[in-house]
Amino acid sequence: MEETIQPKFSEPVFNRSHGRLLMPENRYWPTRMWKNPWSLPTYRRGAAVLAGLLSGAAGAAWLLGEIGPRVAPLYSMAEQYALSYGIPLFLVQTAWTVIKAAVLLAVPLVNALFAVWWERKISAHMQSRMGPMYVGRWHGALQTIADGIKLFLKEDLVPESADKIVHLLAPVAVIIPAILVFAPIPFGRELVYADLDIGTVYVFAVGGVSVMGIIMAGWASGNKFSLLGGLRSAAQLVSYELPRTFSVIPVIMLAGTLNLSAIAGLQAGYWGGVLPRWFIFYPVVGQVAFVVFLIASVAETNRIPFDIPEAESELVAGFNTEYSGMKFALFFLSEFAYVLLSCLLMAAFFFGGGEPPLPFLGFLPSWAWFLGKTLVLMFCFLWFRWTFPRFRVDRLMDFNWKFLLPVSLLNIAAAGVLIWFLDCWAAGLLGG
Amino acid sequence: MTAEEILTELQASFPGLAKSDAQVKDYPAWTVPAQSVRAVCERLRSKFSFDYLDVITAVDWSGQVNPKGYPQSLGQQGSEAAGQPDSQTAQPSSLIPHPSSFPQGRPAAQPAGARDIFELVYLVSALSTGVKICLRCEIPRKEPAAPSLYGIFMAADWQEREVYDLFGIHFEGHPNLKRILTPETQAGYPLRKDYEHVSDRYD
Amino acid sequence: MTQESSTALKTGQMFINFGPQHPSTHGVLRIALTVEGEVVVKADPDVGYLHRGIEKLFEARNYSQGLILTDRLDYVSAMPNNLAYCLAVERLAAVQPPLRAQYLRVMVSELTRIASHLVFFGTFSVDMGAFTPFLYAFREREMILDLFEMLCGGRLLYSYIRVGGVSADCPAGWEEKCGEFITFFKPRLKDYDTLLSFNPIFKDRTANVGRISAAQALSWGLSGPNLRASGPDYDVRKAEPYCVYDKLDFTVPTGKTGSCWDRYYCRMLEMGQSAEIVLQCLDALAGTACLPAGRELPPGEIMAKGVPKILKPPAGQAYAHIEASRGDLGFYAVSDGSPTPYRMHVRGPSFLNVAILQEILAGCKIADVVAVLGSFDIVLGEVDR
Repeated sequence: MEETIQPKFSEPVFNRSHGRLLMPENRYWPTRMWKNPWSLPTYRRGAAVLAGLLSGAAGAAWLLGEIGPRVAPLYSMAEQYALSYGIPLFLVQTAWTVIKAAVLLAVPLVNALFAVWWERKISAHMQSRMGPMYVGRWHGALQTIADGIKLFLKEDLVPESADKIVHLLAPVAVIIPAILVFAPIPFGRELVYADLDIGTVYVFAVGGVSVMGIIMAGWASGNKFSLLGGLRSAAQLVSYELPRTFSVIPVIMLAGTLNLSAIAGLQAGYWGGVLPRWFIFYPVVGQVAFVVFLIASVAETNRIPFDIPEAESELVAGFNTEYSGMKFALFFLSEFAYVLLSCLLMAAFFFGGGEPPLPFLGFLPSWAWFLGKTLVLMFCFLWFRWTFPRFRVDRLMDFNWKFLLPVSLLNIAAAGVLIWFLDCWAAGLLGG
Repeated sequence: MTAEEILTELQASFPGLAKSDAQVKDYPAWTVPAQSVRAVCERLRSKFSFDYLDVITAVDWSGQVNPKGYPQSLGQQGSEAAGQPDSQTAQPSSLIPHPSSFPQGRPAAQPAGARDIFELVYLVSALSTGVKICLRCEIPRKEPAAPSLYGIFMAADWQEREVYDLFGIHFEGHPNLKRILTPETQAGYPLRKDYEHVSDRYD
Repeated sequence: MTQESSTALKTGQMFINFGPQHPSTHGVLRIALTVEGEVVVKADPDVGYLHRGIEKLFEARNYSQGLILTDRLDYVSAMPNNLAYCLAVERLAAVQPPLRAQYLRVMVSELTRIASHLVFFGTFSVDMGAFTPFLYAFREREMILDLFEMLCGGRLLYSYIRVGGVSADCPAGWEEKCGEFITFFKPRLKDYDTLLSFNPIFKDRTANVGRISAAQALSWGLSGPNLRASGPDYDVRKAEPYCVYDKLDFTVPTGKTGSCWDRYYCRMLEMGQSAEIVLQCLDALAGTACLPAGRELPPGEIMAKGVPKILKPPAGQAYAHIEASRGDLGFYAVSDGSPTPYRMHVRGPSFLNVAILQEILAGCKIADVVAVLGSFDIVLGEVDR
């Protein structure tokens, strides 16, 4: 084992006459890359790996096929099995519910594992850095798990002046709605936990409860910066809830239902065989509704440019200044759960849920399309976060009440006109 | 208008104003009596458009301290040295000597050129004409005081507080004259040349 | 927060200690804020947490030892500190550094100005909530630090400019490397403008916030970009050219309204001007290299002849000031003929820039406190000395 270990970087060259470092050629200067990034082999290799990953994922999805339609037969099979062995039916039903609930509970957890890593990698590459590279061998794939373990093991600090019980309950009050809210969300065709007829209303109602937890956190921490953050958060979330809900009303009017999977399913088919019948492609109304919903969603999830409740440079960390360990992790988890929720909602409302964008792409299952659209939208969230500066708190309110809300209200009126026009058109066609 | 013309014009109303013999290199330097500093500055600002106060600082002319920090007078002046704690027997309570225990006047055996004064140095300039003037003003070391420029130049606000903090010169008319760089509990004025070095465990 | 105020909620004014440990005070500045909701009623900046008694320390060191203390004043841009100190001591001792050293001095000062303004750009954008520009700025700054490391071995505190000249001539190939950096850097300024300067959210937060009138700025003794953003085009490089600034061609950008955005954009424009100055200096240094007959700036001639190791300037006083990255940095030196300075006073521009906060912060929002404080670009090492 007489192996000489090569140093990773070559030794610095000293100018003996002056005793100073000479040109350190081994030091990375981005000047070469800036002329033409594609001339660098690493750049080309990275692009190839990305393309391979994407096509591999698509191939795996194609092999798996639709999951939703297979679930119902599975349940009836279990039922028949139980009947033939004399097991009471309610036991099977309970077990089935528990399994489904466990899967639903896993959604925010798995999402956080992936989304945090994705956010770190994307932000790193936007900022000309590498991001996590060591944990998990391949591009820091297990970094989030390591971070999770670290948060688990951290000491749970409660400040002396905190209201201990409320301080403890606040993260719980934040995370529970964040999990419950996923119940009526479709993840693909027939892939939904509870196919509620009032799914849209349920999502907005339950999602709005989390603000209670944030106010509790701000108040119970016994810290002025936390208190300011909690108050800001309450004002912001309550305000942006309005345009966010109003921007969905045109979609509901066009669809005629509040059921989320029904709304997603209604967008199947193509105009002229090319343009998908997604709600975002309805002239003016669809686009305006989407933009308002997107902006309000970013604000609802407390992310830059609307992250004033936890504005780092002003309020240190806002309402979660005094939280550490697992309690902090719960806030973190719920933030990413709401990001995922917003993206899922946008995919369902405006981007046709699991429908492929072009007819010949139908070979991929609906859940793959749903997931793909969600991830692209999530990328937009990250993109905003790492590009924009932060609003000021009063400007934020102005922007909401003086711009977003009127626009979303006008859009509802425009949707009425559009529906009337479409009806006339359809009647005219029938008459002709 | 050059600095000489301004000087001759000002000398009519302020007889104490004179050209200084100790020149700050490249700057025309004038000596001003302490009581008329504020009036001179006011006139400079209102009449000669001197709108910018560069520097207020002070120099303690009571002689070079020993690089180790002991005043040169310590060995020669037995009565004063006796008032200071011996370096070997220094008690923790006397680690920070109270200002009243400092020798106020300098003894006779001063180094050459040493005088028992503080010298205040003001650098004012007129940005429009580019004329810069160094005003020098000598005040006694015993109960040093000078009029404040607060209100004429707001830049005087913190610079005077700094001079007060480091030299203990009182600026009369300053609304907020308190220590700025050193803590409020600091005893003594660190940039005075008679600052006693008291041996501690780091010596 | 006290127990009393956490249990009994009252309406009324709240007292907030903004700092000394706070993410956006850029060091250990404390601002005692009295706020009513989100609006600041009274602001009282409190400095001195980083006081090291540098002016006192000068008096116990000789002139060459004192040089390293100047690095520690404004540690984000150490080269101009060296330069101002050396100019003051050279005036005392009547030393004239050779021309090549003066070009090198100007060049490293301007490179430092770029590096320092890049730090400002990065930290200011972080204060405004945008994190990405921070890393872009540090990417460029890293290259300048590499250049300095090649030049003198130090990356943050250089002590490169010495009394009588500079410590070393540029090594072989340094000029090309520096030129490469400038060609890389100039287009990046346009990137910054598209990314941040003209972003509507950013402009909304900074324009018309923390406005300072020209008279106010002059009276409070602001200097550097903070003064020029309000209108007066006072720049020591133009008003009292030192070194070779009178031979160089550059403009001094000024603002109009004195708002945070003007202060920010003045610095962005200054970076472009500094890059031009560096190019001109590189031309001057290289022009002599290919003209051995002229020998105007012979390589290696970087130190004035006959400067003793232990300098004993004749008794007298001198004041030298320069346009450092943060404004008018002055050294008032008094010598009594001994090897140590009798008195050395530092006029730190940041010290005077902080003082105005007590006047302009009242009436701002808490978020504006961050914007105004960030736009002044203070370095506490220089404020507290």
